[in-house]
Amino acid sequence: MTQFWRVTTHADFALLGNIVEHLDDVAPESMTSWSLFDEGDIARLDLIFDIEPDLADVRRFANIPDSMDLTCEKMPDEDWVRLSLAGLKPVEGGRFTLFGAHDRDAVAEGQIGIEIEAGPAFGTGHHGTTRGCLIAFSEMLDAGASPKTVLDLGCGTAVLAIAAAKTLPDADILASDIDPEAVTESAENCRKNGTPGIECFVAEGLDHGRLAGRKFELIFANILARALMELAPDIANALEPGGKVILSGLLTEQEAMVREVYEAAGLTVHRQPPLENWETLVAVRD
Amino acid sequence: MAKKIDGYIKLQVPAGAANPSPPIGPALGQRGVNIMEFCKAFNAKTQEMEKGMPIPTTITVFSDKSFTFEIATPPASFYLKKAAKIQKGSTAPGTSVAGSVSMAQCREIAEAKFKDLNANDLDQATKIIAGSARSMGLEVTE
Repeated sequence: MTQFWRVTTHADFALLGNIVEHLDDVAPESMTSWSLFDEGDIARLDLIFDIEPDLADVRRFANIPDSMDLTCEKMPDEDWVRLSLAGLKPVEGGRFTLFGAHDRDAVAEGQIGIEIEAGPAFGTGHHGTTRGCLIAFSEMLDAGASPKTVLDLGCGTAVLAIAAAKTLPDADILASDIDPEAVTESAENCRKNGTPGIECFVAEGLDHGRLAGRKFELIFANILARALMELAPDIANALEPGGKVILSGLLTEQEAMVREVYEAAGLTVHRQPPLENWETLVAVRD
Repeated sequence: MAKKIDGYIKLQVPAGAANPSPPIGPALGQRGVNIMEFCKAFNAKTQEMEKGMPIPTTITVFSDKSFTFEIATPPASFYLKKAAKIQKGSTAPGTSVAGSVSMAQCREIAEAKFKDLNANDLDQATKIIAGSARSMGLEVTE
């Protein structure tokens, strides 16, 4: 765990604004970030360092006069990801509601609850990518789809694989990610959600023994535009005829280029309504 | 009604490779900003850049903890170290020389960073970059 030190001062917002304007030009490399926040009557400036700073040095380079308070403290050893997500409300995406342990009672009647604890893996549903996938998947289920083979590629928390397991009890479901930490978290989330049948493993794209030669009726690929484009031929090849891939993790300005690549790979691509500048595409193999 | 701005966070984030480990986690976490959401949005926006290149990023945090962010070009020191093929600048600029860059290289860097430099033209921007090079202990050759 890297230790950080936080140097704090308080003053009028405009005065601190003047200080930070020149900080980037004069701060040493050990200063990793600054933050300036309004706290009602007064504003607060925090400078974060990865080695213990000398306060006299900080005053000098940041041009902080002696008349202003300046304190330095070791930052607490916190799990920042969990802390930043702990207070977030449950999120609904189509038939599904994603919630943390503190919100177990918050799932509305008729919704399918998925418990995802805040952690370092992507996919807590608090931005448009995961939600877009859950909405597209819900629409598929509403239309009567019932895929028997499902892959959650780049699974993060495995939220999409869990959504599939909760609605497709007979399906064979795999979840893979390039990040071993995400796979560990996926396995834990599967256990917590009563879906232990999901096979979670580390894989780089579709290049893995357990995926070789496999065909899927549904693939979730909630990654990033570039990776989606690189994987397009492999994903198209891994779909059964009539199989679908739900693509997300791309911004509105990237939608056209991703769509073109998947159309070039022989798929018919449908665009879902964007969510906060995030796009979701559903591509079908004819 | 516009959302109220609570404050700003400024840090350097590696292009296409933001993750919740330090310094991103502590910087955003202490202010309740959704770290994973920031990482995903940042990586999506910077994935076409050279992976790992340090990107100065300013995050605006609103009172409901939602945020937007703006990215700038990498710092001059990043380009200069790359041009001089060195890992770090001199520990005693003015006394010891850490390496050298040419004015032509300074001009190239000035072109890349022009929109973020407080300069009226490329000649002025090149002089700013040359000044940064000297303050890092680099010799500037013609």
